[in-house]
Amino acid sequence: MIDAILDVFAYFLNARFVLMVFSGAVAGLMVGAIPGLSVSMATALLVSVTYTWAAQDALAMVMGVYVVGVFSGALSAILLNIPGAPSSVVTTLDGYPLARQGRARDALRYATWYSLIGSLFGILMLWVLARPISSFALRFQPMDYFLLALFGLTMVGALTAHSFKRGLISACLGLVVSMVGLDSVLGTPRLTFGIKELAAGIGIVPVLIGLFGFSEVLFVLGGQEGEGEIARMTKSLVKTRDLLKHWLVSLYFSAIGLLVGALPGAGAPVASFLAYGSAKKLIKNPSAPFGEGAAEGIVASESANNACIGGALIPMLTLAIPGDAVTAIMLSVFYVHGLRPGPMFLRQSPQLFHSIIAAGLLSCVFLLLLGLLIAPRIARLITLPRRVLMPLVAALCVVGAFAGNNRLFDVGIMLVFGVLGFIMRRRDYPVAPMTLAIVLGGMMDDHFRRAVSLARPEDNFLLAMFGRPITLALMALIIFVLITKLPWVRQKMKR
Amino acid sequence: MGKTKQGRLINKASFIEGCLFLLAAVLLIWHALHQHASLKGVDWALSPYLFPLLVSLCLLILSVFFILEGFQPSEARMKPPLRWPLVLITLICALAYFFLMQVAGFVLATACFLLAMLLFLGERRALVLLLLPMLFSSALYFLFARLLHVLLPTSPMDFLRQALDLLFF
Repeated sequence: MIDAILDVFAYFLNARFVLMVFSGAVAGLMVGAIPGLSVSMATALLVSVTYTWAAQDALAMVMGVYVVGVFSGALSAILLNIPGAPSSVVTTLDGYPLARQGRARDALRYATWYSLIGSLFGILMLWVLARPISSFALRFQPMDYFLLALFGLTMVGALTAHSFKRGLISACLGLVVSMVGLDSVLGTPRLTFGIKELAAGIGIVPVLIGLFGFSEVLFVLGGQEGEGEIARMTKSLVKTRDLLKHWLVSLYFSAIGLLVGALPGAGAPVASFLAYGSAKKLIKNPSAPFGEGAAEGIVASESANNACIGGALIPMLTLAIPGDAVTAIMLSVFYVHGLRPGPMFLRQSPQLFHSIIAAGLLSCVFLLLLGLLIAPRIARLITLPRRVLMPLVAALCVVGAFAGNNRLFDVGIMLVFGVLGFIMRRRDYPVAPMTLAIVLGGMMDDHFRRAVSLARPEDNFLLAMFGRPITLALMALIIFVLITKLPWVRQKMKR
Repeated sequence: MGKTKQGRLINKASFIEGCLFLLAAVLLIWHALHQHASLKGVDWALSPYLFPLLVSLCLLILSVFFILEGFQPSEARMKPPLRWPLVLITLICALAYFFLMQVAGFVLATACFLLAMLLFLGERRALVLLLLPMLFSSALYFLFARLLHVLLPTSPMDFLRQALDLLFF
């Protein structure tokens, strides 16, 4: 064990290794902060760039991009209400209102510190718990994955909407959108209505930018004079001691992120939503009401989505099952370099495993430095008058939507979802459940059909579908959420 | 929204939304059943239309709740009135930007869009009007096209991009 610790910390003295992680961290800060550029896109670009590098250098840079990129998604979420990634959607709920109150710097500091705690927790747990968590995640069957995603959607519907019905409608519409494109099982086009550009499906990046970015432009410009104007940033900052008082509860949110991250497919968006839901239940007296600038909302979201990094790496390294899109691309980095992650990876390549841990820990250090020193300078953006800022955001939305696939069609998609998001916001429909449904829809469809196919030949179809402890527990959770949202149950609970 | 009166439509918006969701759900169910029938020999368990059918059934149930909400006071929170002309102008500018990009290329179209938007939103400082569109579109071009190798739309008409290429690359 001591050898392993020394091995990990020896990388801290390797200047080349540190430089690689730092370069990745700076790139991660950029891609996360610019709407439309995703960590997965940057990692995919890195695969081609690092093809000829040593595996250790390539992984060091990828880890820098991954850890800081997930954090920096919070920057645009807080400053512009455009989540840099689906995992930052929850951060917009309280981060943006806090920024509009003139406390963007505080919001960024909360995001930085609790992203650090989440990332550190995730990486350390990856080191310690890699094997036991993977074996638990292996027990999940297709129906369990489907129910886990459904639970995530019902929770989001319950947590982000003034009316539960509106949250569920938003999720349903998101699921319909997620079904557009070629079917993954039979390869037949579905809901494309003869439009060939839709065969590849509706990309999440233009949808995200439209729902959160362009709709915000329309919403702010359509508001009354003075309304939507971002308040001047206050000079006074919350004290670090006060800021860090949530560290204990953030470990709980990090644990949620770690567990969800270890389940392939669920990923950081589900983790941050679940953590946010827990925060609403757990924290009785938040600094402001949730959804109106509660620092605790940022704490929950950022701790959980950053802890997912460690969680997502667990099944990737020990089972070769990627936990999210970035780890799926990381898997290709391994294969490009002739490495085989899997149950034998930790035994056969302990040095490489230690280098990943070291790169993760170093990335945490850079996350803190970049988050505290560079992010506040970016925060000055929001003090621009809205007549200047909003056209710039609109142009950024267009180029961001285009950049993912180099398709003008995606710009059209972004505009359509921008208008849809604007209408939804005017009519009090939350857009977050729709976003999560679009992200999870494909996975839910695959797992649901697989579960039905597996259960069909069995004598007792229902028992085969639902007769397992994990399945029953997830079903019970979903039913519990639905029942507690029934009007007469809510009235009784209030009494 | 007024007092609740038994059996009277008092929340028209929810009722109309409910009807629209109901229509969408019925159309989706019909589409799923029709398309599944056209996939000869494919079992429902493997059908690409199993999940759409499930989702549209959920949508159908929810739409009924919305229709019923039409007979109850609104749950939607009141929003302040909109400045519709500005929203429409922004949308028209964005659509024009979308089409102009295909004809005039990215850099020129972005600069034109920014200039038009700044003017519409009341910016009158000549320096801002002149410099901001040029600098911002150039910065986006440099970042996306040159640094990240995104293939932004180009056109022989895009003299701004050509000038940038001549000056810097």
